[in-house]
Amino acid sequence: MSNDMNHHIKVYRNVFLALLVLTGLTVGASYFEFGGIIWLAVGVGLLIAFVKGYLVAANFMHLNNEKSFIYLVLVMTVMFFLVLFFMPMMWHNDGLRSPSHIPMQNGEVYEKPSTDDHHDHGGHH
Amino acid sequence: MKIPYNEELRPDTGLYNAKLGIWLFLASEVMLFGGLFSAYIMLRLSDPNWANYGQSALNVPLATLNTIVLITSSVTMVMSWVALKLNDLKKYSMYMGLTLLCSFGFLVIKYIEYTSKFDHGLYPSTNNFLAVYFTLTGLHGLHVIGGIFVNGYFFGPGKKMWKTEPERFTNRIEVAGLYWHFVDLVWIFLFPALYLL
Repeated sequence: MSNDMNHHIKVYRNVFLALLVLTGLTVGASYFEFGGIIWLAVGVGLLIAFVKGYLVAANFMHLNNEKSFIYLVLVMTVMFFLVLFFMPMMWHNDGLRSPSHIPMQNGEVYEKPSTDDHHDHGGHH
Repeated sequence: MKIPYNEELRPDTGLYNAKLGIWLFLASEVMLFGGLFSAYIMLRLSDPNWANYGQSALNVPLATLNTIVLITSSVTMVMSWVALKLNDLKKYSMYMGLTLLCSFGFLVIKYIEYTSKFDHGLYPSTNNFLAVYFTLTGLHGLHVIGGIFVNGYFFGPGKKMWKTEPERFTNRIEVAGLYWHFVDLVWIFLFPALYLL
């Protein structure tokens, strides 16, 4: 048992260090321009987050060595999560780039179309 | 009457009951935060004014510090469980105390961030980004506070179970740890999603 635990302690220390490095990497990457390609910047940011999440879940939460019943619960969770996550986007299946009918604070959609309003701060799109 | 499967493993699941219980709870938590994350992405992608909402004004160094504080607390939490596995109650208390200290540190830093936003007249009602920011970080903050209550109990009065049922107490700390690592996990995604991207 004691030897087993010593191994655990070593793993936890290494994971801790890895998480610190990855945190630094996330912050550093956010200052990097990626040639102005936004999806690449978002992708790198999320990739690092997923690696960190994996390290925490697999080691601290012992998911790398857990009973199959827990995995079953988690597979179900992931399935429902994906439905929850993408269902609203599918409702807007005319494409995410069409914002016109989503209510927005500060957006121009609900601005009253008036001719005598000279204080329009909403911008023109 | 003794509650079954507190320590011994239930034959059909291979788990003690509390562990299955906490995982089911965490599954529901995934849905709670998942819905809000989904809302965030929807609002952001569909809002042409997003860039003007002051996301870049968030304090990245403070949030980075908070990330480190929370990761540290996750490590001390798992170490408190290791200490119990090694029959070392003193070490357990030390690590659990450190976990609590980090938790309070996280809240103090969050408080500084919030008040500086309020001082600049930035409220959840100001715009969509701030609404999302305060909702997500606020809900996460509530989870930290919840964790403090649970861990505080196990640090203080709850500890006496160690004398009578050490294995059950160790399991309790593992379960509390699973919750706490989940809170850490949520922050790992919140931090880049809100502050950096």
